Amino acid sequence: MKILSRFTLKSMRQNPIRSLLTVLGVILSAAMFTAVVTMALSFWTLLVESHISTEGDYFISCDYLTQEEVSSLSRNRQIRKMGEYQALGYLPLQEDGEGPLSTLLLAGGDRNYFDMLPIKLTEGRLPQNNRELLLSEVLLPELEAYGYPTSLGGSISLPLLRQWDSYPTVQDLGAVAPSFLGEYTVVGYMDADTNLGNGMDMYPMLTLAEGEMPPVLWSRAYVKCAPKAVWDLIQGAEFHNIEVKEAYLALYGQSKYQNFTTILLLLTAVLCLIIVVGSVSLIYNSFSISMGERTKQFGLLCCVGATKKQLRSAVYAEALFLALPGIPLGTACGYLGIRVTLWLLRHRLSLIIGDGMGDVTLRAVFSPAVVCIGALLALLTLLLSAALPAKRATSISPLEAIRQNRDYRLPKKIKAPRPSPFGFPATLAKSYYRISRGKYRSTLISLIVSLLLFLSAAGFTTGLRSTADQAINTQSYDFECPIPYSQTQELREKDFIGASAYVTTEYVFTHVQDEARSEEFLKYRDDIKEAYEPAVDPVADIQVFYLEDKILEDYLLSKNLDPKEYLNPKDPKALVCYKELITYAMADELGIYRRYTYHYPPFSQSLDSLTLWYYYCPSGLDPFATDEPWTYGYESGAKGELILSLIPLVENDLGYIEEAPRKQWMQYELRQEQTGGSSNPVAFHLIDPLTGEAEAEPSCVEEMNLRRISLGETVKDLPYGISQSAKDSPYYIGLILPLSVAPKGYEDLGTLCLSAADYDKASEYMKTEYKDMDYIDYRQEEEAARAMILVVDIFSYGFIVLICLICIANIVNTLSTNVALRRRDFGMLRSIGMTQKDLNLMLMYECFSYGGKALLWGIPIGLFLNAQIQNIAADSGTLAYIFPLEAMIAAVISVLLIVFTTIFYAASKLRKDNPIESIRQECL
Amino acid sequence: MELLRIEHLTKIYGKGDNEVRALDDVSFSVEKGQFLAIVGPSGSGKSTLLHILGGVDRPDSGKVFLNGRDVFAQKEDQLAIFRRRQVGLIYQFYNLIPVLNVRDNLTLPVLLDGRKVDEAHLQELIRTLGLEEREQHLPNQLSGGQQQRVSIGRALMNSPAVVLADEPTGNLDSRNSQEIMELLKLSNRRYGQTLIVITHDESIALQADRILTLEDGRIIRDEVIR
Repeated sequence: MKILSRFTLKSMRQNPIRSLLTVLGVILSAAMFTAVVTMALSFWTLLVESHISTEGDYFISCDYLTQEEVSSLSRNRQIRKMGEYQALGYLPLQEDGEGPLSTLLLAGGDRNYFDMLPIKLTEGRLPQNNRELLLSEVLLPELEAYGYPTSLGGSISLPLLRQWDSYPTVQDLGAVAPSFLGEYTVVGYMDADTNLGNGMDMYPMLTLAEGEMPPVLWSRAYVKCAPKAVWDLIQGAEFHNIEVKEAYLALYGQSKYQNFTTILLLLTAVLCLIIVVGSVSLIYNSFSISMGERTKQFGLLCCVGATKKQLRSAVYAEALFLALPGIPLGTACGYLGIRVTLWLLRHRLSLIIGDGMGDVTLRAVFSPAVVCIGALLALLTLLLSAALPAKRATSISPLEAIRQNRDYRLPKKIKAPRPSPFGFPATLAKSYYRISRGKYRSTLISLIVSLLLFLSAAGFTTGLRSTADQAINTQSYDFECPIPYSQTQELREKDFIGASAYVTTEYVFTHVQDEARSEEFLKYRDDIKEAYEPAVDPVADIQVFYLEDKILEDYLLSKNLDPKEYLNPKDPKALVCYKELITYAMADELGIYRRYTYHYPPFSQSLDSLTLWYYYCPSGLDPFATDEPWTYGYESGAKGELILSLIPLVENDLGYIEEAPRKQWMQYELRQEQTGGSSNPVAFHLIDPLTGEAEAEPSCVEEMNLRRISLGETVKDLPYGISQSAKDSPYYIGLILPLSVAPKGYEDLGTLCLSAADYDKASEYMKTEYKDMDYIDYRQEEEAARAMILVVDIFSYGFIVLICLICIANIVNTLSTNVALRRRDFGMLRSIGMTQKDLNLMLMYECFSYGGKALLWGIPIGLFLNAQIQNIAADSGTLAYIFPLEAMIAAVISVLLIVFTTIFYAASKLRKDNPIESIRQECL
Repeated sequence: MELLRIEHLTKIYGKGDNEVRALDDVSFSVEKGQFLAIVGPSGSGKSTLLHILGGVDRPDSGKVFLNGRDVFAQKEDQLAIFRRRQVGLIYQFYNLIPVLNVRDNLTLPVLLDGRKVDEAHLQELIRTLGLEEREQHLPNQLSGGQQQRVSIGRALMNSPAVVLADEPTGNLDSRNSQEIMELLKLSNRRYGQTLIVITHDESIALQADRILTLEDGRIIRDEVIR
């Protein structure tokens, strides 16, 4: 081994703790680089696999191709894989010219097609030849209804047309017969959710396009090429009807719109940069100390004739000696760490991913290239850290190095230290701190970086938690199933189902004056006007909940209310839902969104009944002269009158449809005509836009569907089965009435709310039996949200802990060396009579200097970053800012603890020294 | 034959009122094989002169010629090689590399040159220095005298043209001092090396061929003894 390498190695062995700390820093740094890059690759792989699982593995599809065009395309060298889909015949389903008409398509796919498209089987298998048929589950009832048997293994004869209605046939078929009989064996069923295209293509009858096939009417080609080649391929294409999978291309960074890879690479780069900053800080500091201690030795080598290049090589040799154990170990730990973490979190990750992304899992993807990138980043960080110390080692002149007169860089103006009020030890500590300030800047930077990262992570997780909190289930039930009331019995009787209630709702509005509203509501309305500034004073929207009578009765009895009053079929009283809502819409003077909580009864106690109006625009009104689109809305007029506005819709400069300016509206004042009977005629009087006065004569009189409802108690605790939106929605006031008084037909349009006695069984049952029903599993959503919080916590805090470990290693390294290098000074101070207590005071003051300064810089910047990140993470800034008090306290305590522990531990080692031995020691 | 020629050497530290002329227009020459002692009170510029001659410090003005070659006309790397091959520096406080053993410290100049160590020469040097049983020892396992011997050995390893010793016996007792001086004189006589020694010790100075006395950065006396 060369002499300087030997010199380097032996120097490292002489300071085992520092060398080990530096190796630890290299391991952590390499581990984190590998982990970050592996996670990025794994996440990207998840998205790619998810896309393939749900959309298919192709970039381009070209429709309505002739066989010649297909052939030409297949010869294109840029294409890596091509699947062909052949339209073979149409099967119109129509019963004797009556009833609904639908047309099915018989198609053939080649083997590549079946490979590339996300075809999921529910039963049976894929067709293996051109006489076998795969049917979509969606078609089975229809085919059976029209007399086509669909049982597995059975034969099916399909009378197919080659031309039908306006459906395309691009191929010149020549003199072939216009129809033919297709004889097939049904071999499998396709999942209804399989996404194969649009229109009738969504649910084709599929055979294998191989061997002798009927003439092809038109083809579709599914093309996979190199992502970069997609746009060239399209430009050079001679045919049209091309569809590009932009979303898939975005994953490869080749989309013309937003590219996902850019975002992912950016995020990975940011994380890597943070790791570089932390790692360089530690490793550079370690090298700096190492070079500083060996200044004299480097000078001696220079005196003996070592060139600058040789001295620099000695420093880089140290870097490589550290890299040899550190990088492979760190890279392995990084990859294994991610693999183990993802394995441990697999259940929670599957909750987060859900079924929407297809049959995929997030797993650690191993790629030699990625592992090499992680190792390379670590090596570059190491070399970067060694660069400056290497340069410094060669810039000192040999004589200065021997004399070691560069150790203390005194400022140009030397000021005598002002005596500290805490005594001489504190004054001395100030002097040491001032002189060594530049030398130990990296310690401060490490402390500040740790603080910033910790508070930033706290902001990130707080923000995400705020967003996820919104998904936490506050409903009183686990499932919500939209089924007719008549079909609820079977489900309710299952042993894994606990409580249940049937509810149906309707949306109406009421028009009341401010006197009928509660004071608390009026205050809320005034507060939010500043934020919302509604253009019009809206009417009060009502969501009426019609709750199953028995459930409502039980509730009323529990609240000591008379069921007869509320269940009276002729004049039932409505329960009014108390409002408890949180709004984040208002920003304070600093622009920080705060959370405001409002509790209020919607109406004043004096209001005992309401008229409920339906959103309806009479057909007798002729809104506008043109056929332009329009909409309508109700509002309250300045004089308290109810106004119907007919609003034209116009296209703005950006091409979006929006409401026309108010002066283009047509408005009608509504006046209820008193007939004394059960009818409710309402007159619509046109309002003059110039005067604001309504015409005396109505434009029309319409019989409106109005209902007068008596109001009962305002309740805070909602009955079982009533959604929390009755309380926390700012858009609707909730009223509760018995199901028996719901409008005719509504009783089958509601939802069954269920609580599970055995959630796992219930969940399994719902997935199997009601998979085609749009039911809501609130508990799963909540579990997914909680899982998301846990996963985010683990990854973000895990990342932060590792970075902080690097920073702590740096701080321990620097501060302990700082103390060790002053061994002679301490000996001298003790020899002239300084007590141990005074020495401890001096060290304590130094701790406060380092720690205090780090906190002085770190806390304000950290709080600022925390607020910004909370803003971004918490649903684009519409959720309230939460001050990170706990995180801040933890950060302050940790910083002081680290600094104090390090300095006092290092000093304790010197306590046992004989003063004269400390003075005599040759600091080489 | 003239080996070393110093012309108008000046070295100034500080500026303005704080200016100190460590060397003030010093000129002299040294013959090959001569043993020159440089004496003078503290702060007279002796060490400064020696460090400049050794190439570890640069003068503010003036020239140093070794074997007719201007030492400070060389680039940094060439100067390093000059220090390695042409001069051997010995310090009062030994200045050995603490992590290298005796053998490595001795052979440092050769190894830095990238050359193979001449074992025979090394062993002879070790024998001459009386370090036969200390070859694998680290500096902190040696006495002061032994450390200084290693320092001398390192200086002699490459058979330099001139050996420069700055108070080589300053940290040693009288017995070790005498032994060290004998070694230095041996190298001077046996190998014909030019030897320049800075010393406060009159008895050591009187062993030299010539005594140069410095005061306030100037040569005030140049006395040939033998």
